[in-house]
Amino acid sequence: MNNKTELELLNKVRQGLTEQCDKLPEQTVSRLRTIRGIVQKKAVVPQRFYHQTVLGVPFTPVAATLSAGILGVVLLMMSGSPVKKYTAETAGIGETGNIVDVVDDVDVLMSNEDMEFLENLEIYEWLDAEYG
Amino acid sequence: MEQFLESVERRAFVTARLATQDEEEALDIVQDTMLKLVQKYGGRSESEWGALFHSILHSKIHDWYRRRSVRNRWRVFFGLDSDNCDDSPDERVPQTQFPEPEHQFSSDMLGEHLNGLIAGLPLRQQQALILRAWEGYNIAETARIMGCSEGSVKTHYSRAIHVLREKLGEYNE
Repeated sequence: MNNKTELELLNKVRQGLTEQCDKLPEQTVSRLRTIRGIVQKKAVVPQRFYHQTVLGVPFTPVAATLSAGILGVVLLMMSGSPVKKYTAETAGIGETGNIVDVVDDVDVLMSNEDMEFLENLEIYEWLDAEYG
Repeated sequence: MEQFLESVERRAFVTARLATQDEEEALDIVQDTMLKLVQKYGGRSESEWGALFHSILHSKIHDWYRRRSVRNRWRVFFGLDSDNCDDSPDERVPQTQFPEPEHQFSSDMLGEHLNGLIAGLPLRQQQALILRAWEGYNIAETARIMGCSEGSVKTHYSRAIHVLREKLGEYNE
């Protein structure tokens, strides 16, 4: 195909496609307009969110998560070990020490011990203190 | 951005409709394309929007073909009704609707016929033709948008022109 014929063909292609654009039904054009509106709305929300600042620092989900993590670590360090140290005082059973001291209310409630054992706990404590 | 989207939406729709032959799918593709451009590349300079938009658009169309191919393969596997569209995008057989022989040749009819021919081209040839001939991108830009080499663009484009010339020749005879 010579250049002239190819040029004519390409012109016809362009013309045909442009005509399709111009002849789109009003319903389709209206839907395209609606889509454009939806896209603009969807695009605006995250942009506003990302453009917020806290104390001059851009607020993003990543920054927020990192800040929360750092704050958590600092609080843990300030309050000491997160694991509760059981002592006779914290267990509320006097200065008896030994294994009974570490029995916590939560442990009692969560365990599957026989209820009779729990009811007689004071006796076991006394026995342990006396003869243990 | 609003003005840019308005300027490209119709052409994008026509491009997507030619590729999918389905208005609803074409509208979905246009919406996804616009959304991705606005959300991911809205901050880029205006001069880049055109190439980025077409790059996303053609990538979405390609994804649509892949999804359809997979869907159809499963349909065939389970013995469900298939619309015989399980061919790959690059090897899609042109399916052109030729006008009745008694119809007289006219400019309008040629336009319609040409659109039918473009719609029947394999996807990559169709993309190369539209980007080069209609959108006016050069070979390098078209290659970047299509995600292939410049040599591939030349091949697809040349094949598309060859098919159109042949089919139009048949039509004119």
